[in-house]
Order: sequence, then structure tokens, then C-alpha cells
Amino acid sequence: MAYYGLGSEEAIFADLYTQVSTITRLKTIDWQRAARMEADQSRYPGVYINYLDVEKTKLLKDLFENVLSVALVAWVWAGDRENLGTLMNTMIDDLEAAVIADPYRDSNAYDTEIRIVATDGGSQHPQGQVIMNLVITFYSED
Amino acid sequence: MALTRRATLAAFATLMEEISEITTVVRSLRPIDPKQYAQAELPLLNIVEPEEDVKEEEIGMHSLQELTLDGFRLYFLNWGETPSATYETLIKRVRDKLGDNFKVSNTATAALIGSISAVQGRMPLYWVDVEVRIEYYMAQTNT
Repeated sequence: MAYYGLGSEEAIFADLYTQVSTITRLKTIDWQRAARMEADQSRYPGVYINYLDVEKTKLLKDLFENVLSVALVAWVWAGDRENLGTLMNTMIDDLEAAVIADPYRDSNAYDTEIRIVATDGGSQHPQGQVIMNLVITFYSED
Repeated sequence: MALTRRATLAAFATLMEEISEITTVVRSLRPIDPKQYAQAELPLLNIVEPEEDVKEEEIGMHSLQELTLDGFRLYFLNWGETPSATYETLIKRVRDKLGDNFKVSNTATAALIGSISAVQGRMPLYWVDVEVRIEYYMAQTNT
């Protein structure tokens, strides 16, 4: 029997990391926000994969439904003659493509939904920030 | 033959236990909480104590007891995209089992499936409610 969505948070984060890494121009990808983001151009563009929350619902003694909230926080740097909006839109498109390439997170999730894409988090030329909130449903045995 | 509620329900549970696709049969006074059971115990059939009602059979001048098992719930897991194949298989086994043994191992005069609900629940835990009516003669006769 094929299993749809029996997985773990660790495996899901690993898959997100792998998928986001397919955006080749990224110079920084990190899990959580392990280090303070420095205003250093060498780190742009980059993405943090932030763990927000998980809601567990017990279905059986040894089976849980998990709704995992994750935020992809991306930042871009526009050159003097570059359009910041265009760069941010391209980043959104690339992140979206990376996320929906496999909504099952390598067979570890039942579904991945993109809920909110925020672009007005203090973006001002030359720095732009994009936040993409994901809701990932998966099942676990503990 | 005078039959009893206890014997009829026990025989019905035994009959359901004989279905190889059903792993666990639980009789209870109130509907069970599935969270008390593990994946390995499913498919699980919960038989809740039924309502009973007395009917009179005019020709035989007997009192008939009718048990309405409307708390007959079958829980199952399905990891596929739709649960319909598992649902159909399980329901067919229940129907076949009762169809081959209308008298519930000679503890009843008739056992009938009243209605079968649509699949309820959500991925991956589903259930279906089945209504079963069982009739048996009581010891007394109508005068």
C-alpha cells in the first residue's frame, strides 16, 4: 500500500532545503535563523527556512495529523540600475516553483500549501525581503 | 426456541470476528474513542449496545424482540487517494457474512442490514456506520 504523508519534521525540512537549493543563484540557505542576518552583500540573495509552528491532532493511539507552518524568508539585493520589484517577483516565482515541484516533500507530507506571500516587510532599494508562508500537512506515529 | 439478547449479541460479535479483514471487534456500552486504539488494531468494528423493541408476531402468537444495532461502526485506515476500494471490500465482507448466516448461528430468527452510511472521517482514518436489525423470539407467547 502506498503511504501518503507519513513522515517527520526533519525529513520535511531536509526536503525543503534540497528543493530551495535548486535555485542556483542563492548564496545563503539556512535552516531556522541560526545566525543574525548581516547587511553584507556577499550573503545576498538568500533564504532562511524558518520553523513557525506545528499543530498535532491525535487520530489513533499511535497516529497523529500534523499541520506544520514554515516561513521561507528570502532577501534580494538590487544593483543601482536593477529594479527591486522585478528581482523580488523573480524570487517569488523561483520559490514557488521549488515548493510545488514536490508538494509531497519526498513522500513525507500529504500536501503543501502556499498560504501568504508578503513582500512589504520593509523592502526598500537596494534590499528586498519576501516571506512565503507554507502550511504542510503530514502524519506521524509520535 | 427462546433466545436471549446476550446470546444473540455474543453470536453476532463472534460472527464478525470471523471476517479475516477485520482485525478487532469491540463491544461497548458507549461508542469508543478511536484514539485508544493503535493502527495495528484496525480495521476495527465497534458494536455498541443496541436499542431493543418488542414486536408481536400475530401468526405465531409470539413476542419478537427486535434489536436495532445502529451503533455499528467500522473504523479503517486508508493511505491511498480515495478510501472507496477498502470501504467496498469491508462492507461486502460484512454483508456476505450476515447473508450466509441470517440466523446469527441460530441465536436469532432474522438479521437484516438496514442501511450503510457513506464513508466518513478524513485521511487516513475513516469509518462507516452500518445499521443492523436482529430479531429473535422471546420466551413468552401472546395471549
